[in-house]
This record gives sequence, C-alpha cells and structure tokens, in this order.
Amino acid sequence: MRDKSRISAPQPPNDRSTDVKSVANISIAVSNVGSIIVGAITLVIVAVGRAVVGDSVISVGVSDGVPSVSIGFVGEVVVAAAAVGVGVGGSIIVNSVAFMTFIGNAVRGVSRLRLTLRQTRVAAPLAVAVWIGGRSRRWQAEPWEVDLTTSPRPIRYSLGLVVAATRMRLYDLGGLLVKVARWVLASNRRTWWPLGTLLTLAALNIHLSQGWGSAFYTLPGIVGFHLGVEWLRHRWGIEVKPKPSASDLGRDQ
Amino acid sequence: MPEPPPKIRLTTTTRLVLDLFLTTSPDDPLWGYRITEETGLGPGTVYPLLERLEKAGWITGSWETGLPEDRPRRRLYTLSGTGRQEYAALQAARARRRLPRWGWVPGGARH
Repeated sequence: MRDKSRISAPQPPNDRSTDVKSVANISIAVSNVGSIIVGAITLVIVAVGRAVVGDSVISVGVSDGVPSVSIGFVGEVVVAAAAVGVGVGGSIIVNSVAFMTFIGNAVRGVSRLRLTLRQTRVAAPLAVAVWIGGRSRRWQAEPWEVDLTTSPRPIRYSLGLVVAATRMRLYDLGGLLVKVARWVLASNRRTWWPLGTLLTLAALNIHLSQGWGSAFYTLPGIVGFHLGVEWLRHRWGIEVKPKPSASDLGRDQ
Repeated sequence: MPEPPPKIRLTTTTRLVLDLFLTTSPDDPLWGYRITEETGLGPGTVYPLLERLEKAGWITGSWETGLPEDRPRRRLYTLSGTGRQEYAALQAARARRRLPRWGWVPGGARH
C-alpha cells in the first residue's frame, strides 16, 4: 500500500513537535505510574509496621521519682518509618501533580491528533514503545505514529512496535556489554588479574575438595581461557598496549 | 574512543530489506510501514534493522517533505553509496564461501 500524497510539491515542514511531545508525555506518565506504585507499596509497609507495633512506641513512667518519657528501639524504628512515610507521601503528592499534568497534556495531544476511540487503543502501546525505546529514540514517535495510523491492523502493529523498541534496547545493552568487554580485553592487567584470580581460586577449591589429581585437570581450562581471550581479541581487532619497559620510563625522565 | 559503527550481518531479513532497497528507485524512498508491507516482515524486525543500517551508514534517513496536513511526517530511507558497496562486497564474500574448496571440475584443472 503506497501513499502518493508525499509526492506533492515541497512545502516548509509543519511543526509536529507538539504531537510528538504528547506521545512522549504519555510515556513519561507511564513511568510516573511506576514510581507511584513503588511509593504506595513502601507506604503500605510502613503503615503495616505501625499497626503491628501498636502502643509500645512510647512509654511514660516515673523513674527515681522523676516522670520520664522513653522511646524504645521499636519506637525509634517507628519514628524512622514515619519519616520515610512522610518522604514517600511527599513524593507521591509531587508525582501525582506531575502525573495529572502529563495526563492532561496527553489527553490534549490525543484530541489534537483526532484519534478515534479505536485508535486510542493503539495509543497506549505506542506510548509504551516510545517509553521503552528511551529518550534518544523519542523522535521516532512521529514516524511510528504515522505508520501505525496507516496500518490496517493498528493494534497488532502497535504491539510490533513494542517488540521493536524492546529489541532496540536489548541491542543497546549488548552494545554496552561489548564496550565494557573491549575495554577489559584491551589491557592484560584488566583481563588477567580478575580472570587469573578466579581461575586460581577455582583450582584451589578443587584441590581442597578433591586433591591435586583433580586440580591438575583445571589446566586445560586455563589454557582454554587463554585461547578464548586471544581469539576474541583477534576477532574484535583489539591490540593490547605493550607495558612500558623500565628503559622507556627512564628515557621519558 | 569513538563508537564503532554496528556490524551488519547478512541474515535473511537483512537481505530481504536490502534487496528491496536495491529494487527501489532512489526517487521512490521507502519508510517503515511500506517495508513491512513489501517484505512481509513485522515491525518488530524491521525498525531495529533500519536503525542499525542507518547507524552503519548503509541507508540514509530523511524527513518527508510536502506532507499532508492530517498526519505527522514519515521517515524516508534510501540506500547510500556505502551501503550499496558494502552489500555487494558481503554478497560476493558469501558466494565465495559457498563454493567448495575441493571438488571435481569437469575437464580438469587448467592452470
């Protein structure tokens, strides 16, 4: 299915940033709901603790003829929990205000986009997809939205967008792990200190539990690790910086 | 250290999408939904692939101009010169790998 309307004469692009913002606001609202739920759970825990402790918080009595008020350990815990409760309560109020603002913006955005009742059912997965995609991909809300409204099966398509955003984030995570691995492999010290320690401990553990005979069989494992590290360095094109020799250091001085 | 461009592997889905780019005129750019329709792939596959291809410089993305009033802009993609060259090189390498190293040649070796 091709839309020929885009072949019309070039015009200055419209400012669609408000529409994109509306979708982005929905995604922020989703994250706020998450934080409110966490806050509410914490509040419930504090409330339950207060109910269980009951009246043994503060004891009023007379000590050596002098009236005194003592707060026990349990009381201190309750006071601390109450402080946490106040903090959580404050954050809930702030989050609620922010949430209502975002919802208001989202509703206005949705009405601006003239989404019908059927289409609002796909707006939620789209917002989730934008939220999962992260801040760096918020701009994709615009092309995703237009593709979604073009599709004859928008609900299915919107779920596909959620899958796409998830895969993109997993790819980001994989990229981050690869970056860390490359950094570790670029130095012999960073590679072999942790790995060598781990392998030595493993060999010692086997020696202590099963004796030298079994520990001897960890040697192929150590060789295997060495070959694996070298293979990975070769495959990723990582060159290990040579350790500066004493003569090099003396020349610098 | 600058982030290296993502490595593109020639999977079936990648070849499907790149073949579609090759058969499409540069004056008739593609966008996400159209690619899903013409290749039969789902959006969960197409959009991450488009992102990787764009980061690697194989395709070029641009915003739609001359858009109608009733909808947002599309993101249009065209195959770049780099993409064309890299794809051809990878396909050639793939074809070479498929040839058996040892095999019977009719007429015998002529070198």
